[in-house]
Formats: sequence, C-alpha cells, structure tokens
Amino acid sequence: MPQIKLQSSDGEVFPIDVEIAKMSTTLKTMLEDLGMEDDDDEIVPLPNVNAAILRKVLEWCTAHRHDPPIVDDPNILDTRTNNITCWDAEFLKVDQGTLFELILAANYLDIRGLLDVACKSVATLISGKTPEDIRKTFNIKNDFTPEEEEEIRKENECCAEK
Amino acid sequence: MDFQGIIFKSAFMLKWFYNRKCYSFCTQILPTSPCQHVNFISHRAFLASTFFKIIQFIFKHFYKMPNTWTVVYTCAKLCSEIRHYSSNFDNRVVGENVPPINKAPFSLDPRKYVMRKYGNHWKDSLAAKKSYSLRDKDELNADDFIIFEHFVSVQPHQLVLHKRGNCQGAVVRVWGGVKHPIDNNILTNLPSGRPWMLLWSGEAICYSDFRARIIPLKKAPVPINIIKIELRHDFVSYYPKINKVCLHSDRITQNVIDDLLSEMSLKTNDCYYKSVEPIAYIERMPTETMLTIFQHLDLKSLRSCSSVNRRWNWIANDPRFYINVDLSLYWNTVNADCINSFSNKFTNIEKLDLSNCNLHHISYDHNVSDMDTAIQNLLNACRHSLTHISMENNISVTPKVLRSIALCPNLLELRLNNTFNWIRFGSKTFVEFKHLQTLDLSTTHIKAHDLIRILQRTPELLHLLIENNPQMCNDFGMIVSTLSNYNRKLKCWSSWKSFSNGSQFEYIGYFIHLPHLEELDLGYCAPQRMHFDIFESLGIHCKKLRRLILTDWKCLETDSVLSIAFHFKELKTLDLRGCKGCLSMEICVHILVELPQLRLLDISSCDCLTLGEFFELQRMFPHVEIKGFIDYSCNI
Repeated sequence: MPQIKLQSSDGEVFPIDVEIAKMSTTLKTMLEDLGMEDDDDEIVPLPNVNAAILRKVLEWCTAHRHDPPIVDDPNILDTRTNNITCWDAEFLKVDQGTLFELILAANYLDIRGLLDVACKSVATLISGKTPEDIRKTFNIKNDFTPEEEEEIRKENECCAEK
Repeated sequence: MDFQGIIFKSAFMLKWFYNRKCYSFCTQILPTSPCQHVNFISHRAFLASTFFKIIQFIFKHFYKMPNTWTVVYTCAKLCSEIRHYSSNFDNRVVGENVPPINKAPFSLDPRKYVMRKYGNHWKDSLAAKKSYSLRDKDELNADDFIIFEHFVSVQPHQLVLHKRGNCQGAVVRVWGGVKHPIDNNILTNLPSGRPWMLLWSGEAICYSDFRARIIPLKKAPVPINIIKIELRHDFVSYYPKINKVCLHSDRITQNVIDDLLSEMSLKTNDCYYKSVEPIAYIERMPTETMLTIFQHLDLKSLRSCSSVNRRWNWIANDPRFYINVDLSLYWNTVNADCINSFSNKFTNIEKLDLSNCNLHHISYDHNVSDMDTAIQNLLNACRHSLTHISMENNISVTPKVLRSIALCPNLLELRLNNTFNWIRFGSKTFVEFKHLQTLDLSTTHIKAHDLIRILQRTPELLHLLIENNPQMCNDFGMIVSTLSNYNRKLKCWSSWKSFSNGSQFEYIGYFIHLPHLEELDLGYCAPQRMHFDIFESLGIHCKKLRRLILTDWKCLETDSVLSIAFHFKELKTLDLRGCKGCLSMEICVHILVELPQLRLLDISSCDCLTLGEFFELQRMFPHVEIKGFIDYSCNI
C-alpha cells in the first residue's frame, strides 16, 4: 500500500497509508492536485499541527478509515449530541487544551467526521448549563456591562431553567 | 449560617418534632446526646454535614410516618378548556366527593374519554405532528397533558392516580401552581417568580397490573391547588382514562425544615470551587468552528451561550439557528418579552411552534393582550418566511393573531388544535395561504361556512383534522362535497367526535371523489341510517385506504363489515369499537384473514366475543394488536 510522510510542526515525521491520509480533504486535494501519489519520499509539512495532536488525529483516522462518507442532507441533519460512539467518547476524554487543538487540527486538515464528533463533545460540555457555569467551564471572562447583561437576561428569561 | 444558628435551628427542630410525637424517632437517629456534639466544635464543617445528614434522614423518614400526620385527601376537577381531547361540553368532574356522572365500567359516551391516543399507532398517521426542531427534544417524550383544579390548597407530599385504564404509567411530569384568588383563568406567581413548579418527573412505566399509582412529590413552597400532569403515550396500550386524582398532604407547613435544608445545602456547596490561572481555549476557536459547535445545542443552551460574553452573544444570535423554533418545550417560561425579542431579531423563522405557551393562563381570558400582541408582531415580522405554525392549546390565539396567520402566504402547515377563537373570528378574513397541506382545526368551534371558505382556497390540502367540533353536524355533507370539488388531493380526514346526534348518510358518498384518501376517521360520526352499499362504492374508489375508524357506528351491519374486508386490502388500522351486533368470531377471523396488512383491530365494547374466543383470536393472529377485553380487565 502506498504511503506518504507527514511532518508535524515540531519536526516529527509520520509515515502513513495514503488511504488514511485521504480522509483529510485538505491532504486528498493536495495529493490529487500535485500528483504526489507516486512519490514515496516526499514529506508533507503540517506547520499548524504538533506531534502529539497529529498522533491523536491519525489514531482517530485509523480507527475510522472504514466509515461511510458523510452526506449533507438538511432533512436528516443530526444535531443531537447523544450519539457519540463509545470509542469516540473514550478517545475524546482529554483535557480541554487537547480537545480544542484537535478541533483546530480537524478543521485545518478538513476531516469532517472528527470535526463533527469533537464539536458534539464540546456541545455536551455547554448543553444545559447556565451562562455562569459555561464561563467557569471554559474560563471565559464576562465582558458585558451590567446594563447589557440585564437586558440579555430579560430576553433569555423564556428559556431559562424549568 | 454560623454554628450557633445551626444549634439553634436544630434544637428548634427537635422540639418541633417532639411536639409532633416524633420523639422516639429522634432519639433513634441521634446515637449520642446533643451535648456530646459540642466536642466537635472545632470541626464546624463536620458538624454542619452531620446535622445536614440528620435532617435529611428526618426529612426522608417523615414521608413514611403517615400516622403522625393528618392526611388529607382532596379531589380534583378538570380544567376542561385546555385539554386535547375534551369536548367543550364535557366538564366531567372527577373525584370521590362529587357525585359520579357515569359509573358504568365502560361506555361509548363520547364525553367519557379524557384522551384518545395511545401507543405508537397514532404517531404513524400521515397527519401526525412531527417536531419542528430536531435539536429541541423533550427527553421524557411528553405527548399530552391535563390540568386539574383542587378544591383545597395543600402542600402535597404525594399524588395518587386511581385505576382507570393504564394512564398511571403514562405520567412523566407533575407540575403545581396556585390559582389567582380573584381571576379564575390565571395562576399567580410562586415565590420563584414563575407560575408553575415542577413537583415530580420520571420515566413512564409500563404497568401490567392496574393498581393506583403513588407518585412522591417535591415539596411546594406554598400550598397549591392546580396540578398539571404530563403524559406519554408510547407505553400506554389502550385509551388512557383518569378516574380520580388525589393529593395526599399534611396540613402543617414545613417551612422550618425547608429553610434549614436550603440554607445548609447552600453552605455545603460553597466550599469547592478554586480557580487556578485559567486558559480560555475555547476563545481561540474560529467563528465558523463555534457555529459548528453551536448547531448541536438546543434552544435553551443556545440562549445561555448568548449571555456568556459579547462574542458568544454575537455568534449565538446567528439567524440560521432560529429557522425552526420550537417554544412548546418552554411553555412554562415563555412570555411576551421573549416573543418580542424573537420578532426584533429573527425574522427568517420558517417553523414556529408555540403550542401550550400560556404561562399564567389555564383557561380562556380576555386579558391576554400583551402575549397576543407579541405573537401578532412576530407573525407579521416573519410573514413571508413562515411555512409551519403550530399553536395547539394556546390561549393567546385571538382573532387578531388569526388574522395575522391568515396573511402568511407560504404556509404549508397550520395546527390550532384546541384554540377557541374561530367562533369569534368573524367571516371577513381573507385567507392568503394557498399552498396549505395540513390543517388541524380540532376543537376550535369553527363554523362550517368559514371552513368551506378556507377549503376553497387551498387546493393542495392533504390532511384535514376537524375533530371534536360537534356543532358542525348538519353541514357535513356540504364540507365533504366542497372537498370533492376543490381538494382532490386529500389523503387524511378526521372528524372524530364532530357529530353529536348523527347526520345524513349522504356525506359518506362524497368521499368517493377523493381517490388519494388514505386515512378516514369517522369515529362517533355514524349516520342515522345506513345505505347498504356505502362501503362497497367507497372500496371501489378509495383503494389506498390504510386507516379506517368507525368508533360507535352502531348502525353498522355485517354486510358492510364484509365489504370493508373485501375492498380495503391496504388497511392497517381498523377501529370498530362499539359496533354492536355486526361482529362474531367468524367475522373477526374473516377480517383478519382477508386483510393481511392489518396491524391494529379494535373490537372493544362490541359484546361479540367471549373471553376465550378473544384469546383464541389473539393466539391465531399474533402479528395484529387486537383490542377488546382490556376495558374489562382495567376496571376490575
């Protein structure tokens, strides 16, 4: 099976199957456009992804290489967060820093499946929380003036806790 | 609360329990005398938590000591105007201190049944309502609700639902409220600032026996007299009927314990959170990624996000999150301010569900002006984008709201089940929606000529639901003949309980002009006399019929049943409840053999089979759900 080499931002080189690399739309387009498939020695630099994250991303891609492609259909758009598989849930049991680095990497490499599942996992962290809890969870600073906050609180009263 | 406060409060409580003859109980849970506790004075936290545990223990066991407390049974009256399947003339009082209206174990009196739907058969219907928003889903799947008024205000510790069918198992939530002392139509705010308080929630249970169900309730902060019960139909195998609702309560208020509990739990929760120099990783995410994350959130979480900070507010207010808006899940908090904020910001709403959003109101009242003005503004703002509107059980559907609805040109679905204002609507309104496919005007009191004017303008109509409009009985022929001229695409018709005294049989003849008809619900709409070949001609013309409901068609004869079995080969649901005299074991077997697609056959109250024959039938056709004797078993 043909392989290519990916180089992380901190210089580590990962030889991987082309089949797995092609799960990333970014890499797939690049390979096809540049006709790099035959050239085994070429190294693809990924300046936005460090070795630890790239290792995680490749782990996910290897586990999911047989997944069917994601089809965009607004009618069956699955926006629910409760269908993360056990494997993915286990895979995403990481600290917030890693989780968001993963999202950035998945975004940069354009891996739809990974991006979706990681976003869902963040959504579960947000879901059902009060604004103050959200700020605590993600260490976000409140930059509203008291007047603005009061106004927004009034607007959102309708969907506050039951 | 300081230590002295704890000692003072607990001493007070012990005294209080002592006075209530709970002394032995107290000594039992306190292994050492109170004096010895003083030794732990330096371990304040330990002490606080010990007391907390003790009080929890007391609180828990308090429920198990009915002998020490005055138990009051109160009975309830249905607040009829707000339920799904009540007729307007049905003001049936349930309760043991009220003379029973009809004590027969089962009957086909149309006023008798509180709710109609059960199981999943009703969700299969083409005209069944599908949720408007995928992200907002009720985790307990409540389908329906009823509201009771109790004669005495109490702080109940349990609710007891008495046997009648298996509705007890269907309960998923219990809410409490207090009726306004002067205005009977509305509720007052509870100390929380909201009219409703959740007293209990839990999964529906599939009951095999039919004993009374006891539901423990959370303590209400003030005595309540309005109870709202939310029900889920999936687990109910037959028509849910509620016989009696009792609140069990002691008369003494427990504010002392409650205060103590809430104060102490506040204290114990306080000590955890310590912040280490934090990094807000999420703030490094690009906006498009935030949008991807937010699309997985439900409305409530999305609104929470909008209050986090300015950036989040900006992202969470992206109009694409507010195309399908289902506010029915937030019925207990949606107010005019909230609706106004929608109409100011999101004007591209396509599907809007405002079902059940009445907040304070429990029955129709003229003073709904702020809410109906807000709804009207929202409708006017989104007039061109709206395709689906559902406002079931919504008291704010006033004539001016109806006028705004009528002006939405792109409407495909309109559901106004159980809104009472068509009668006040007047007939001058010009209906703009010409592409309408689904129209649900059940329990609306709409007049036949108003309905006909709508039908004439909506040639695309597929589903028409006009259940429970008994005043329509004389104009039925006119309505169906309008349909046969203007709405030839119609697939579903339901007029369940829309006819009180029987009607001319001719109307059924007009259905043969609707070749696409798949569901025909004529429960309680039997004509006074039958034309013998009516189902013969219907069978020849409407070959696609999948659901046929002929509840209470006492005039049905064996020949008609045979021609149903002969012609409607696609039939999946057949309801012959109360069709006395036309069925026998032989005919039932014939129906089940002739109709291979059949999945539900209701022959209850037909008096046609013995229990043995019924079980034999169930054994012979295990793939069909046959309803028949459940009525007997659940009323023993």
